[in-house]
Amino acid sequence: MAIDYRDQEVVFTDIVGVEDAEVLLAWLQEHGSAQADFSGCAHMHPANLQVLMAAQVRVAAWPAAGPLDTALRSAFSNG
Amino acid sequence: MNDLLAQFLSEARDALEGIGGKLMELERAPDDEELMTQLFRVVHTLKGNSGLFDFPEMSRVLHAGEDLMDAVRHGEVRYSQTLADRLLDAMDFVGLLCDGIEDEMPVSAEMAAEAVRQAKGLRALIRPDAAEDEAPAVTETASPAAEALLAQPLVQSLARVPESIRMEAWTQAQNGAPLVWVHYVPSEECFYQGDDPLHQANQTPGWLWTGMAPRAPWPVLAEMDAYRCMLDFDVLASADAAEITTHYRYVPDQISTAMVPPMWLVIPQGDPNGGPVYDDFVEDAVGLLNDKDFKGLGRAVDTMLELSSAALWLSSALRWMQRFLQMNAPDAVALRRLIDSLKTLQAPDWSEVPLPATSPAVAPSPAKVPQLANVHAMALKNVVDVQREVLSLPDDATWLPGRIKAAVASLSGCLKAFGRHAEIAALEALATQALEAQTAAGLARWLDTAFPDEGTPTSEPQVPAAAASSVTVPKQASEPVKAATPSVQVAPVAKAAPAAATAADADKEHVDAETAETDVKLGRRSEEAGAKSLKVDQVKIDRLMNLIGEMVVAKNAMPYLANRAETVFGVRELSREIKAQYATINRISEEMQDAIMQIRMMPVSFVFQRFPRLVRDISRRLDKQVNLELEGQETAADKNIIESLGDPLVHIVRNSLDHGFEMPDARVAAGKSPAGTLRIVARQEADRVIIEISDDGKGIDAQAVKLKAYQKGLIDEATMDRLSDQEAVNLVFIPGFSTSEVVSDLSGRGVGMDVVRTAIEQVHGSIVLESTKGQGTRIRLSLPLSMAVTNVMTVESNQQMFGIPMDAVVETVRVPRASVRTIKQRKATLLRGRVVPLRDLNTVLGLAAPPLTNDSDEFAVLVVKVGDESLGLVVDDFHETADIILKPLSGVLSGLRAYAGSALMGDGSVLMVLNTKEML
Repeated sequence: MAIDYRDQEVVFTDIVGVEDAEVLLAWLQEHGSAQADFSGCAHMHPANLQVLMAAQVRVAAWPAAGPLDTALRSAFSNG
Repeated sequence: MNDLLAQFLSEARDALEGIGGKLMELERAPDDEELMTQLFRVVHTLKGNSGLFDFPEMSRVLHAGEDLMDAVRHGEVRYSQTLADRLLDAMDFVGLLCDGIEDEMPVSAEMAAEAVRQAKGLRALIRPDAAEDEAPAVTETASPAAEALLAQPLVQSLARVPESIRMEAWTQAQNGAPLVWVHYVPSEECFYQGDDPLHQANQTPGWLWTGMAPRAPWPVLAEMDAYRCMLDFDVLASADAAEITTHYRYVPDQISTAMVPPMWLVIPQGDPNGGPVYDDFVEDAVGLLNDKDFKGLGRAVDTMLELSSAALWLSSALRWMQRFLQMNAPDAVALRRLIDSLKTLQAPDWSEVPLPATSPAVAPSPAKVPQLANVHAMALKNVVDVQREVLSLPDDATWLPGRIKAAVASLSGCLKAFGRHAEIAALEALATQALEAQTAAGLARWLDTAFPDEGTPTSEPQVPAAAASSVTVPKQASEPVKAATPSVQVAPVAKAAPAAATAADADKEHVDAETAETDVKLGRRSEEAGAKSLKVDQVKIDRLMNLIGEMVVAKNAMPYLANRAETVFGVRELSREIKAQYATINRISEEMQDAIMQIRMMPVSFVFQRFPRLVRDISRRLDKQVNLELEGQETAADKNIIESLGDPLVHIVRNSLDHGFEMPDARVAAGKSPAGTLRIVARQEADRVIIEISDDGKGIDAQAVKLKAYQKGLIDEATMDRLSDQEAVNLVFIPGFSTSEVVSDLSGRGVGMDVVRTAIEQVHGSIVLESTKGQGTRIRLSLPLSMAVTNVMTVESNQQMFGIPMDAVVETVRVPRASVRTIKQRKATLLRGRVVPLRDLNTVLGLAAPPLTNDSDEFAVLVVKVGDESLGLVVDDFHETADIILKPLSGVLSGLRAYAGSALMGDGSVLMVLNTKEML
């Protein structure tokens, strides 16, 4: 499972596909102040990312250094 | 080239011609909905077909064309001449792309940019007001003006890039690597098309950094559509513009690029506290710099850095100074600026500094992007883990061999994908052993050594060779574009790990979106193809043609054989049977020959269909009004004849438009209608095709032609006076003659009618030009229907047989010796009141024997046509006519111009066929 929904945290692992975005959006609508753990994530379809950005999630853990990391840091550095 | 591609190209050309034709029909009947629908369908089909291949440029232009036609079809846009112009232009461009594909040339960056321009032009016609809002096209920002324009936003954007990455990029730039900033604005619908813009951005060649930002404030979550792309991407990459263009070739209208001057990367960042405390340092530093004591300055900077907190603005500036000081020849100007900026705590404005030229001699160092391996390594790990699990299962299952084979197939796929081809052989050897021993243990052990199970994918020792090479090594521009498409690298990953499918989404591009349509189309097309016609390579028909030729020769041997049976062997009965059999075979072979000829027959419309476009374009350019009338398009002739007609006809039509027709006002003044009429009529007369091109223009001024020819020294004064108007008009066929005073891009270069005449005569045709001043010009081309079988008359001379093409033969006459007169040592005779010069064939061929007469002392004279003149050829005797397959002389004999070729006769003898034009 690429996304693990916990109490107030969502944990991403491996590669998160475009099809997860809708579920993620629904979950975020219910969990206002969630945080995200990207530490095990290798790639994420931007549909998910924009949902996370719109929901202003806090980043609990960044991905391993790499393209995803730079993209996430550029997007979430203020949030 | 594979068959599918060859068929696509052939169909594409047909479709393009069809589109051109329909567009011009539409010009006459802009409200014809049926025609419009047909046109839309052709464009649509062509676009769909192009989607089957990797031709994004073609698909893009055709897609835009299709959208435009759709809008016209639904009445949203009115059909206009501008619209037709644009569409025709676009189709020409697609034709150009087809040429490129045929020659297996990679699409150049200019062509890609042109495709974007064409598509934009077409789309602009759909929404004229929105044309300017479109995303900026690829900008080659080499010009200083463009750089200045981009300077401010680019500096701001670069500030988003973390310092460590900027420093890395700066170092690469010092080694000569080009730096590019890519701003990528994916379309809102891109997720639906299976795109993954982040993946696309992260796979940019020479990737250094990806940034991401929303393009509009986020809506509240309840109203958010997760699948509408709202993100913009920025990428910093170390690659040249061509590589970037290639990578983004599917979405060139969604990116803008800018070259990054390395100095602009030098942006100190951090906490600005504690400025004045360092005044002393600044003073010292300036002093050291003035003394050019870079070492001392370096020490001072190092010490200062140790003392300061790393997060300070000052530390950032110091780190940059450190970088500069590490260079072989530190840039004093830049250092001074940095030191100055320490006082003000304002980042130096590098846009004013003249940028040091990066030394092109230094080879670009490969960018270090091991992180890129992440996705691949993860996928590899997944696959390997699964195989490890599979191989560790108990060996007692009956399907063990299948299991082993499957695992080996997966693993060898992995090895291939990661460039470890050398290890495949070892794996396969192990697999054979495992199958024999019925145990997977050996393979499992190999797996542990070949793919050690590391915790982190980044430490995977084997950097994916394909991925790394595509990213780090700058490619030659001449490298085929296909090699750079990332799908090659990602495909095995996607296959191996289902979870990785999304990663490959970005590479599938628009092809997927078309799949449904294409399926339907393929089904329909195959039905059509089955019912309609068969496309056969001309080579195959030519072979049939040669075979039937040989058969005709073999068949012709039978009467000879029958004759021998009767005369030599005295078996009359057999002779009769052979003759009967000959009649049957003769009928069949004639029918076969006819059938094969029919296959080679083509309607003249093949040539004619290009004229509507040609006439339209030229008359519009010249501001003339011309109506084109085409008649007899269904008249058919041999393919070679039809093809040889193309260029001469185009030349004649151009001449007619350029010289023939007057401007509309001049026509009105001359009492004609403002629009001229150009008629091209084709019809069949006996075994010839006649093509007449007539216009009602100003005609040719015979006097002017004469004068011009005299001035050019082509004729003398006496000839000038003697020539009739009709003869004078035909002077235009003299090489190097042009009546045009001005050389235009259409005609008037003096390469003209002589070339036309030569081309027509090459296929045994003739050309007649008639012109009446003020009324128009008429050109009549007469061509044989077919070239394959030549009908010749056989004659005997000095006991040898010769053939003369029937085209050249006027008549055969018997001339009594008494009727031959000698005029100035030349023989001539009077034939129905006309003087016909006579030549002995023997003399012409250099044979000493005098011509023989018959019992009544009459010469056998074959009257032949040489140009416009008649000439009597004195031979010994006439023989029958024969259909022969004329073979041109080859090898050393090919220089003998007196012969058109040779043919094999039924009795096995060789008949030499004379070429009267060259001979006399």
